[in-house]
Amino acid sequence: MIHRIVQALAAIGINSYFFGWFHGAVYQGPTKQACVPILNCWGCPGARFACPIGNLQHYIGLHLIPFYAAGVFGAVGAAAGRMACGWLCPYGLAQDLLYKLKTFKVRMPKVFSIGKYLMLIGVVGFVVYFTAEPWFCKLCPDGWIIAGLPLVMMDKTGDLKALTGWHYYMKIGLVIFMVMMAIPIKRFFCRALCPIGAIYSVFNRLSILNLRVNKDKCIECDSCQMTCPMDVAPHKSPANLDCIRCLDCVRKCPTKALTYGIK
Amino acid sequence: MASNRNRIVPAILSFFIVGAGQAYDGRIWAGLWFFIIFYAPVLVLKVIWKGVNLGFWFILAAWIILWLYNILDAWKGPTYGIPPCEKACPAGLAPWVYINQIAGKATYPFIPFFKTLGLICPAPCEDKCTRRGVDEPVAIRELKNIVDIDKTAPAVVKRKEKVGVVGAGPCGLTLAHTLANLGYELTVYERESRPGGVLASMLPEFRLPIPILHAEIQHLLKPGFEVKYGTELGKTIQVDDLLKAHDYLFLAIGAWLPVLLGIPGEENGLVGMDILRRIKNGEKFDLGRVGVIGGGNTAFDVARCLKRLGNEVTIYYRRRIEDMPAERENHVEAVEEGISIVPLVTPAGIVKNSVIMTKTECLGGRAGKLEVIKGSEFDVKIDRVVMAIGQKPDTKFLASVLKVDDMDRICVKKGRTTHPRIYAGGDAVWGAKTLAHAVGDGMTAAAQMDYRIRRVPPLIQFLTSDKFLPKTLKRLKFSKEPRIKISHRDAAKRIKDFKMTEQPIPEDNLVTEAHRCLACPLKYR
Amino acid sequence: MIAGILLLAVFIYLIVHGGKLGDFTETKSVASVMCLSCMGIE
Repeated sequence: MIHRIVQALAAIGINSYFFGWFHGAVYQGPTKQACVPILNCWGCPGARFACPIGNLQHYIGLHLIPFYAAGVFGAVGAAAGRMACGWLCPYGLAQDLLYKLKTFKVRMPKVFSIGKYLMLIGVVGFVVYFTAEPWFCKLCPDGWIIAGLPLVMMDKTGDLKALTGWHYYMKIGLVIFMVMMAIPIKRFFCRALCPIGAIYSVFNRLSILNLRVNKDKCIECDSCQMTCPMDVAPHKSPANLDCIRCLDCVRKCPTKALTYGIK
Repeated sequence: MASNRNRIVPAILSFFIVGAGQAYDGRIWAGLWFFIIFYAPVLVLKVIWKGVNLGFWFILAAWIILWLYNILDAWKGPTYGIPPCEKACPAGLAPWVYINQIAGKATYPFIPFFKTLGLICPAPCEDKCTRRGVDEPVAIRELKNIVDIDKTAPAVVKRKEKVGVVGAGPCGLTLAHTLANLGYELTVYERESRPGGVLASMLPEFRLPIPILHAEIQHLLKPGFEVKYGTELGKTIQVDDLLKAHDYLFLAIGAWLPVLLGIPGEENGLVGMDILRRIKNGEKFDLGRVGVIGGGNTAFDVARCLKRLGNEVTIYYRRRIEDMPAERENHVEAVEEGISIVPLVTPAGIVKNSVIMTKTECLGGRAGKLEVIKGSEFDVKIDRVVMAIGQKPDTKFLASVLKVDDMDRICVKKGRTTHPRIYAGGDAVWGAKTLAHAVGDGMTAAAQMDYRIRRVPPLIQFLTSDKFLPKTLKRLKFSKEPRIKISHRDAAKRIKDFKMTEQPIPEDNLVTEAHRCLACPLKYR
Repeated sequence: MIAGILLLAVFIYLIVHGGKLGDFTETKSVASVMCLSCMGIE
């Protein structure tokens, strides 16, 4: 329960610039200096903070070392691994809620997990470096949902509407696809495509806060895997790259064999 | 197992209106969100219409995939995460379903030997039950006694293919019954003069009463296929003849060859399997002091039978007591009945009236290194030795037709052997295993054979296979009670006869026990 | 755990270093305008 409350508060809090929502404007205040550690487009009228991936691409495009973005990712990752994904990201919350719909579910083959690394290195890395264009942003489904859709719909002057073209439609298609994929598959975007997830995942083994399994208490009932929003089997791989430290498994374990803390 | 959910109506509804089929099924939220996700972009496109450009094809592609997923979901219905009890069952049963149905008084689809499993299954499901993390596992085996099984005969559409089944044991009968209900023409070839395999010939009556077994077998024979008794594969009839007479064969020949010790004087010893069969035929044995060699269920069964016939019985096992493969229950009951168990010894030779035993050292548990300690021979005064150290299938004569492994077990993949027209299952494939494996093998091989004969492509197999889930499956109210106690008849009394050792449990207690199930799939997906 | 603490220190230093180079103000100015790429506009 507390997990959902924190996720909801984070989603609302990060996008709480109400003036922007009502008037179709973008916040320009001081907190826009700060990057949130998760995916949240700064183009959203409600967004009070900056997107770290946008920041990262900005510097890569300029061929400069992205100290700030790297620092944010690294610090959060070194402290808690992929925990930001599990507690703060609004897209994570959206995917979790969509998965709760009672439908026919599909297990994602583990090989698809490589996709997020390809997205990070290929798109956010190479493509952005050589084109100086924020190509991940051009593909990001989040950007259309909280920025593209509201701002164009609220556009009173018609300027923005005139600028929309095939790219805008492509984004609509991507969004339909991503929203749809979230229903049968657990956190498909997070596991197969998110570059931020890719960055945090490599910190999972080294982070200060970590998940531990007490093998003597574990009865291998698989409750942790069934409850895990990322389809990880914590009792088999507690430091798994995909673990978002949501702590659902810790709460559901009937023998309290799973613990999370400073190790 | 077929689902009882109507798939066609929701699928057609969802074909025409996205989300309608889901709503029809009672899945309102799923239907609503499918509807919104599908039709909301139409509203956006009405505001921003830029013509049919490259991006529009993305939208169209996404729409088509969403529409197809919506239809698939309406057709297949929601999936449940498979809980450990269902994963552990060799017969593919879903204990959480029939347990949670008990209060709702719904019927579970017919499973061959369901009541027998309720008496003799070692219950691997209980070993994995999540409840054991709280206190003790749910008594799944006992709960089978109050489950209502659907025994109505299905409508049969006759087919022309002929299937030959070798072996009328639980595995062969399961497959024959299943395929007969699918319309195939079946002939079962059985070596003995009666059906039932190990259950009929070897299992002692105090574990499985004859009337219960008889009722189960009679129901399986109801579809009316032919059983030819007294025909033995390899002797009275050959594989080639069968392959000519039938389109497909199923070999459920069991594991009836005893593993022998290979020590001098062995010819003076008796074979445990043999003794069990003869006892079931009514023979009495007055042997005096008996030494049973072995630690599996057969060893315990023969020891307990001989005890009831008035002999003094000791079991000798070459590993430690905790390594014994027999189920704990068997073991506990045997000790109560006055049978002593001596671990870490193995016979070196049998002479008249005594056995030369050597001590062993077991270094690695059940399957680890075992060393015979040289020079540790000692004499034990025994009148007769009974060997019950293992069972192998008799498959040497099949080696030219299909692949058999180094333990003489038939190699199968999804029921099919290396010969394209021969399938196999049960003890012949696993070595001596459980009834649940036999029933499970029979049912999977029947399904696979049916798919093969009708040339059903994998996609259609996927679309038409469904687990049974009742329409309304709600969690029972959680019970904090401890597990029910299974009481046995007093040991001093029960060794005087062959009546059941377990005493029946009152239905109310069992219903309370059913409430202890955590219904894992209803909590997570 | 030592590795984690070391990394944490290193990355916090990177944030501070970036700040000294003007990353914060640059982020603010970039993030204060509508992101056309994000919205799907060329």
